[in-house]
Amino acid sequence: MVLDGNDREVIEGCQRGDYDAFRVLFETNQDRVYSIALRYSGDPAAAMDIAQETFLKVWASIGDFRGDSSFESWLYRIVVNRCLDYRRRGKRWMPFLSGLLDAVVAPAESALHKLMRVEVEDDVQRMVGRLPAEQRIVVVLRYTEGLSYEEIAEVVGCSAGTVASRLNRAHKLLERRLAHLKKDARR
Amino acid sequence: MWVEAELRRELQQVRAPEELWERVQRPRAAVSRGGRGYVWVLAAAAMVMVVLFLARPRGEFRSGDAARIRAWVLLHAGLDVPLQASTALRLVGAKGTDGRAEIACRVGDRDVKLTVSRARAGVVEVSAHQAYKGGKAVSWAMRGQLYTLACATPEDLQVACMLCHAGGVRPVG
Repeated sequence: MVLDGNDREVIEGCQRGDYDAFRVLFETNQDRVYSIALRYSGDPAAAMDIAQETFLKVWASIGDFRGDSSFESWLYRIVVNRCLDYRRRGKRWMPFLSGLLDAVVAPAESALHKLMRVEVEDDVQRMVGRLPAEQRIVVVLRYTEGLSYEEIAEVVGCSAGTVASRLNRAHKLLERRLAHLKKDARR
Repeated sequence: MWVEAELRRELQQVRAPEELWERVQRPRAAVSRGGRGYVWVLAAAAMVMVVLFLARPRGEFRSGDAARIRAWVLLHAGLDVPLQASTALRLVGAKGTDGRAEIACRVGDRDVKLTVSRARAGVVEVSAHQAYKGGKAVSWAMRGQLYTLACATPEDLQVACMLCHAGGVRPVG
């Protein structure tokens, strides 16, 4: 992940307070930031909060970015910290509660239809959501962003060996919990 | 391994919603959208409990940029202060934590301090002038936030209004 000339120009623009440059930086990175937040939290409303906080933090502290690490790593660290912080602030119950309330408030037919609809994506997302935080973030960075063990280690602040071990434990848990998908996966 | 293939397929990137930029650009409108008021009421109660139990350290941020200070104050104090760039005064920085922030600036070689905190329920727009360390201070409440502007001279008070009002409008009252 090397910074090319254009990226550097955009970052330097942001550091000078150029809001147009910040818009470019936002456009370039919005999908990856939102996706990490969504896959981590499993809730679109929480993902919007996390993504918003991430970009506000980027704008407020881009002056501190010195280029010692890649910009992507710096950005990943911010979004990962926001994800973990969001969970620490006690909002983890929100997806469950809002889902429950949605189901209660929704018309009976729609709620029934929703309950009967078994989608693989929902299953996977739900089971990922039940992983311990340190395993979940590693899974998201690996499969949503396609980062290598070394890149994940740099973002999370641990060794590549620890990343491998967390992923291994997550795989084992998910294999057990998603065993019913195994047959479909072989199709 | 089948589970890896499944994760790769089901956890792939998605497109960010269009309104994300709007939320980043106008953070005040960002919190609690989308017709989930009941959830946010419960969330607010939970947050009050979190605030009671967590003693977060005070942060400090030094910058002369109004937009950056505004973003920092929103992030660290949860307050949206509509700061604007002005040539009449020089922003120095801000410090604060949940629900309270101090924004420092200079008019000439004199200090000006704007303190902002959340207003209690029921507080309406008021204004009060008082002496402050040999200078002048004015306090008022507006849109759910309490403001106190402290300056060395009465003239500085008028200049300091440009912190939020480019045209130099006086505070309420």
